Amino acid sequence: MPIVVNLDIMLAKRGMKSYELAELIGITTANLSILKTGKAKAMRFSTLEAICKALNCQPSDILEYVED
Amino acid sequence: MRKLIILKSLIDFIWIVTCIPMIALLLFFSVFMFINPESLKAIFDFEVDGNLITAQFFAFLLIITCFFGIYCVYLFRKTLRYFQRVKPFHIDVIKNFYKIGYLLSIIGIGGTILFFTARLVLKSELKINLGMSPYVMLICLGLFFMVLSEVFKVAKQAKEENDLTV
Repeated sequence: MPIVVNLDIMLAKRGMKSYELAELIGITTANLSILKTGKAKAMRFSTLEAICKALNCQPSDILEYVED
Repeated sequence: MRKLIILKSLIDFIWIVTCIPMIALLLFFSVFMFINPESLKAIFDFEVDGNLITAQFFAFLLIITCFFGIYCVYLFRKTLRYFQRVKPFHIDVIKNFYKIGYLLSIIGIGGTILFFTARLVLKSELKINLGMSPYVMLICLGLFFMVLSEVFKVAKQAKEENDLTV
């Protein structure tokens, strides 16, 4: 998929663990793992909003378009 | 779920009471019709005037279509088990529905052609049934199962996408 999720990079920049973010935004670590590994087919705006709020970043910091 | 239990019980009943004895009966008859050609009357709804070997050949083909029918019941029973385990979008369900549809269509088309040809060859009689024959209903049912299989395929994709939405 040409949309790359850079969540792990942002987590490293903020020094936050996956389970901490999962707890903060109210999703399971399994779902966060799906998002991190790029297996997710879609992302809710509410989830994106919660991630941006928790990591204090913009959606463009998390999602990136890379041509195949 | 009560409806599913009733359906499963009915199919199990049909399987035990009808299908299993029918397998033995058909196997017995496929040999017996060669020993006693008089028994062919049980298959065809008319007196066999033509060649006996041809009649036996047609009867043998009809027995094969009966086995297809029994296999359809077996597949349907297997599919219902997935429904009971709350796995309606399992890949086997889609495959089984397609197989059932395909086989029922074959039985419908094959049965129509077989009876039409058998009557023509064995009784020298041309008879076309334009009304609601059971074979036409079988073709419709077969096509319905094939459509159902396609619908389940789409539903499976939608479910997978929903599961992978975070």
